[in-house]
Amino acid sequence: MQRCLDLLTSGLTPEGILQQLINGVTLGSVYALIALGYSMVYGVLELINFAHGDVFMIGTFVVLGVTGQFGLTGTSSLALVIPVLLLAMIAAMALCAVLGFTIEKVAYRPLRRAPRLAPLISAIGVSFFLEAWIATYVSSRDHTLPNLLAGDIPLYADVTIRYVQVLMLVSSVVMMVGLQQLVRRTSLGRGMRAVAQDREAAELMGVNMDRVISFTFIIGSALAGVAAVLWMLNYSTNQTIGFIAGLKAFTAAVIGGIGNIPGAMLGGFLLGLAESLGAAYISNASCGIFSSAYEDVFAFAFLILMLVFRPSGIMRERVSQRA
Amino acid sequence: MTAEAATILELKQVRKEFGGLVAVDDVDVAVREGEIFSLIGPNGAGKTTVFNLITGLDVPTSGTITFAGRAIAGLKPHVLAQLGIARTFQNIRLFGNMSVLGNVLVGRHSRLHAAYWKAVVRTPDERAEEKDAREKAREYLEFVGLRRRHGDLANNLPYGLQRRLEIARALASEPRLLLLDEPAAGTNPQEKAALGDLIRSIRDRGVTLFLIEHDMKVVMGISDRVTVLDHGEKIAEGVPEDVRKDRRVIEAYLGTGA
Amino acid sequence: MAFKPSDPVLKIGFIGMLAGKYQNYGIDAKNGAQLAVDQMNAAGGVQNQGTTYTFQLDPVDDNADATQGAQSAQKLVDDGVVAVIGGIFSTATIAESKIFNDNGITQISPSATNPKYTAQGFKTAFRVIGNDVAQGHTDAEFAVKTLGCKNVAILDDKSTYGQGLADSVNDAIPGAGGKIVAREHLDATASDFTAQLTTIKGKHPDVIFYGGYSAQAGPLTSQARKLGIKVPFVMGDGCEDSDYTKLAGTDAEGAFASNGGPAQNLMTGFAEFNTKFKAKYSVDVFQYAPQAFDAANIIMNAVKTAGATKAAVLGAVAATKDYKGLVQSYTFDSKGDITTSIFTVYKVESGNFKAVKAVTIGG
Repeated sequence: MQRCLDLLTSGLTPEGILQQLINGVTLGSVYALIALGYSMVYGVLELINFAHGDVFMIGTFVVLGVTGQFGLTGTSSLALVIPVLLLAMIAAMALCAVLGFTIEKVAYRPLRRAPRLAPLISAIGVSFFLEAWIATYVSSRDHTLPNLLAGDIPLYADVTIRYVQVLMLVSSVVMMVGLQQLVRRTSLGRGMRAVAQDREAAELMGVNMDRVISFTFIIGSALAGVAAVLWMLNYSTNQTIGFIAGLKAFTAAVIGGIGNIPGAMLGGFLLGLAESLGAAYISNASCGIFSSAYEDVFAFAFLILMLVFRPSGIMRERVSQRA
Repeated sequence: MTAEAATILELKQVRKEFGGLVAVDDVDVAVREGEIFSLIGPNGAGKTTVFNLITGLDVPTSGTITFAGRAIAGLKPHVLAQLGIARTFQNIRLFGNMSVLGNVLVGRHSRLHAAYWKAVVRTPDERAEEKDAREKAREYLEFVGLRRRHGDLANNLPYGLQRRLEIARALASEPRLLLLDEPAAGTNPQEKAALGDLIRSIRDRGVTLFLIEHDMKVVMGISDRVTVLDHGEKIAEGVPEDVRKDRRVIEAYLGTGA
Repeated sequence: MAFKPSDPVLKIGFIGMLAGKYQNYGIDAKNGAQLAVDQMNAAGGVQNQGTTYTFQLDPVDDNADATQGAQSAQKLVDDGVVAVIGGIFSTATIAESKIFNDNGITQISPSATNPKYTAQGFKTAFRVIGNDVAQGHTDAEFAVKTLGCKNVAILDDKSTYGQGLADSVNDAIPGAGGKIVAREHLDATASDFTAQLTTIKGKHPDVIFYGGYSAQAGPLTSQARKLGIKVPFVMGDGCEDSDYTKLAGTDAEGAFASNGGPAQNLMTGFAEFNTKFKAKYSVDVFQYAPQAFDAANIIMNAVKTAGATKAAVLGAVAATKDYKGLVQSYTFDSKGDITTSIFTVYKVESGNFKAVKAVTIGG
């Protein structure tokens, strides 16, 4: 019992908790960016685009390619790093967008009137294809970027936020706000919402459904391209990263209420926090019964609980709700 | 209206079968520019299928459909909207989770020219067009008497106003031909009277109207010409007074006589 | 045509990951074994009781995975191999060992170090490398005594190999005079390790031990440095490779990793071996090719002394005593482990692992 009490309090410092919160939110911001792609496509098509994680994975390889081309190292000057990262982001967004557009056109559009299982299977097929393609023709190894944008900002005691984390937070929030504006305030956004609510009525009102769907894939995939840059600044990649990151992002989308854009963001942040705090404090909270090895167990237990008790997500499905 | 008014919409020998079941049986219909034309018939007479064929939701099994001199059978719905055909639905199909204004703006879709990528980067011309679309949308809401409800969710409007919103949404595409699918269904007598006025004032703006109704009273009061369909087959056509006296119509549709 | 009995060709199996994430290890070891077989055949094979035997390597892929490993092991059994070299990774090797034991086929792993492999009571399981208990002992002593780091944080990737080695280190630390201040785990499929590292940072260790593979160890090291953790990393053989230095980049500098066997430059005859290896495969030796080379020779030597049946080979391999191989001199104990294990601790300097300390355990 005493051991349990000791465990509960050991390592639970305000600094530690604050640092874990920062870590969780930045990790969550990347999940959120990827989750938006799942949510948008589901909202408009009611299709879980399982290849979306792999589009993100391709994005990470584009980032590797661009930065490799310019020979960036940890000691490169900011005058080189920043333009190259911008270029990498544009390249990743563009390539992911083209890929997303093509996947929809080739793998989903011909099956639009088929039973719902058919495009789902097609999506899994595309996912396997992209993984195998990268493993065969590009690389089946792990890759990282050198430590770019090193340095941090001290916040409180020895709690710091790194420049990269600031960049992750700022870029993902900017992207999300931009997307929200697009959906609420432009003809494209109205077209997306109209197609989501009543596909036939939208078409009869003059909405070019095929084009709206194409743009949904293009935008969702471009956001995955942004996520790829942020991911590579912190983490590593290989051909299977799309599956894991995709699964996490999909979980985030479900937590937020799939089809709901603010929900996907919230879900991403929540999952990032759950993972960080879980890995850090499961051991304390369970009196040492569970170790940090259970990190993913808790993340996915969260998904299962959500699906059982709140299948429409925290924010309730909004975009795809039928009139 | 003159007898020489040009035909804007013509259906010739149009037939639609669903797996052997004949929904529309070799129907000929001609709608003249600027008139209020009604297609009537009991439920299950194939009226809505006719609209679906005109608006591109279904493709005719055989026959031709001509709109403003152009064969349109098989064209996609959004293309037909662009050409100037708009419609409402028997069971209201608004975008319930969008605002009243948002619904009308969706109706405006086919009159927007800025490409979607411009919406992503928000170019000045796209912004200008968006601003113009909002002004136009408010005008149509004013026209149907919904201006003050523009911020409400479409789902929160009472039934009669939802019917009017559907009309405003259809008008936003600046159609030459407006198809109204049972616009009086579910409305009370006052609303029916107001609807008649609204339909006439739409005609006065230069829009041709094509109504489907099974409520004879509504149709007879406002229509220039009427066609009666029974079991997918045309049984009478002409001005309301003549159709009302037609023997087959009385037998097939009015039964005991109205 | 006159009847002339052809000399029998014996099949020796090779099992390991040949395509995929860790294919480097498998292909390298396969090439080492192939080189031994080719050299033996070129020298006329081996003779036993008047029969001349030549050999053929039969390689199969186990995808470093238990299920695939069991299937591939069964394929080798069906192919009629007399003995097997492999597997490369512990998880798959342990799964395979049951199939080989059931069929009485000698299995010599050049690299699987998990203690469980030889602790199942299988007479057929051997390895030509020191196990994780010995290696954990080496790493613990090195961290606490050589580096003088008393407070140790231990992390692993929950794999059979990684957690096994980390447990061995965990058990050996108190004996070496150190104290464990944190014991954390990460998921081999995860990319973000900052949660675990932040916890570790709060415990102020003097050194971090990581049990796992370079695919995670590289990013892990970088993330630790980004969090401002400056203490050295000590790792096992799963990280002592160019993948680690590539993934961690400049953050790899100063990291330590132990590996079984003497350093390549301290191995008598390694230069000559590497020259032949490179001439044949156009690449330098990567990791376990020398051990696989020795394993193949131990098997072929057994055929020479005892004959070509599975039972004869098994008996002769088990009786191996002071066999002088390329890497070291081998004697198997009753479990199938080698009685003397040599470990070398390497340190990353200017982007490459350089041997800094040799340790001999047992013997």
